[in-house]
Amino acid sequence: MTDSTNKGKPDIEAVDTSDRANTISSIFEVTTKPMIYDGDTGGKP
Amino acid sequence: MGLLTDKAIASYKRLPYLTYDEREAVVSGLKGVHNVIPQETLDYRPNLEALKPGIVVHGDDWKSGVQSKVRDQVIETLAQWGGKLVDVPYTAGISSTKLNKAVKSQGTTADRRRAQFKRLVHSKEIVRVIETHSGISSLIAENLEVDVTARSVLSMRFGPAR
Repeated sequence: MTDSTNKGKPDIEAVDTSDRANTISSIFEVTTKPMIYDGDTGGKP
Repeated sequence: MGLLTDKAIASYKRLPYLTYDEREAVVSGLKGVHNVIPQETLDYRPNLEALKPGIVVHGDDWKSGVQSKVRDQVIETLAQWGGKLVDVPYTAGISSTKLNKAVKSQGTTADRRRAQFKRLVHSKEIVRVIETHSGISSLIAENLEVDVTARSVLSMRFGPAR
């Protein structure tokens, strides 16, 4: 949800999988910590 | 030689970089070490009572900070059978904070992240998790430090990860 919000979009599957993968890449570039990934893409409107 | 387990260390500070088995391999390779005994708690008394040693040797860094109470307990326990504590000068310039900084600067891999998470879940009473959704929020998660001894607000150190 926060990934959508950060992009100014509603939490209704507007942010697709490749967008989310890009977000993970930018996160992994700056942190060495483990990640728990929330795969929920938001409900369909 | 007594060696703190991951769980014992994680009870009062961050998880050590090396696992128990790795640390055991290092110390058992030292000249004069015949036996390595796991210490499951920060409290030395269970091992002391099991072994009843005449002399206990420990770095003098524990005279101050969180471990000073533990040191007092060791002296008290040893007194029961006339044992003695010898505090040897702690090696200067050795700091896990510095070491962690150097390790972080090398980056990591997906396998290491997963392994670290597994170790955390097994060693920590509570694993702290923080939500991130972008580079900047992750950089904050990477560098955030909470001073639990501070009376009011959190103290945060913020700097580039590499």
